[in-house]
Amino acid sequence: MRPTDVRYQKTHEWVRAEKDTAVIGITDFAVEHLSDLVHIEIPDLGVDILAGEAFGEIESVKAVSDLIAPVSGEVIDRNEDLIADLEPLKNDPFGKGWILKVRLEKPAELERLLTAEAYAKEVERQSAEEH
Amino acid sequence: MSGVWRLVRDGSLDPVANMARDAALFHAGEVPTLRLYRWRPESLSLGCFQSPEAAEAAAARRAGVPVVRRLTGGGAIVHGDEVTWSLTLPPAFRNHPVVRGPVPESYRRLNTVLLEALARVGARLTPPPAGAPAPCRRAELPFFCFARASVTDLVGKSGKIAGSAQRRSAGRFLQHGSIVLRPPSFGPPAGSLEAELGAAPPPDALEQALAEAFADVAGTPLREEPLRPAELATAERLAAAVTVA
Repeated sequence: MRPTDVRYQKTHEWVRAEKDTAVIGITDFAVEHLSDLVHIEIPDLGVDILAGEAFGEIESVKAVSDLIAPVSGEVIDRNEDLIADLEPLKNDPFGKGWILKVRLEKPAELERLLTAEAYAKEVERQSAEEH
Repeated sequence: MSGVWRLVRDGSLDPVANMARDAALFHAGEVPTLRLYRWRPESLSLGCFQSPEAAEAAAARRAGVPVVRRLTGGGAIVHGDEVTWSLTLPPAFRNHPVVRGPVPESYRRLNTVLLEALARVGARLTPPPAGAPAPCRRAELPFFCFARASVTDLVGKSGKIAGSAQRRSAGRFLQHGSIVLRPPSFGPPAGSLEAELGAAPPPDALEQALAEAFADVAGTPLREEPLRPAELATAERLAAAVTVA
């Protein structure tokens, strides 16, 4: 069961708003699809990321995928433990597998994102198209 | 299925032009494109996260071998006598049967095309047997792509002959791969079609087989066209991003 206190986007990133901070990660569905993750590249502190634009890259043994920012803001924290070891993405993508924290500049951007219920339907739709 | 796709046959180009064209098609391509190309001179491409300061890359530069950066990850490849293919799809094709689903599945589907093409030039290859699980850290992977065969590659009696890598971004898709005709002049020992067949097939014949197999297996007719002026202009702009100083 995916958490209901976060918002999702169709490209499988999630965001959890904590006052004026947004915590960003990728979903279990993304992790499962990429398989065998080996490396992640994420921006440094102080960098501004822009909703809808690539903010980083994640590499599996056979594919590189861009990470698409769900909201805009300045990077104020990075999960350094994750950079050293991607295992938490497999075991706890919504908790210890968080990727970045940004200062939330436009809280209204959250409203465009999917609720857990809507994301579940989106995943169902995408999975159905795969078969 | 999804109308006519484009076939681009670029012949032999320098390494920066080759990778900049794949980058332009990935970032801005508007039609599904199978691009077939070769490399002159022999070149080294680095995976997008590999350091140009690595000893092997520095040695290549000292030997006068040009080094270029790919958009895709994985290990470095020595591009000598080979045929290279790239498939790029714009976002509207994100759920096309050839590429949808988990990454390993999309490899299996594209490998079906490669196996058919290789069979048409007389080569019977297979994916390698499933071995140890993939390493969990990039540092554990060898520097050269052809030093390791994973279940997504194709091997013959002489070793790994076809390897490829994939990139995805917000619905856009790129996979490109090398099919070795003859072993390159440096790097790890690689399998080759020459070693499998006694003589390497002419590159034109392999390209033709790839185009036909792709059209048959994907159920998609291909129309041969050159890149458009706007795509070539995008490639010019992206050249700096793939250049290794």
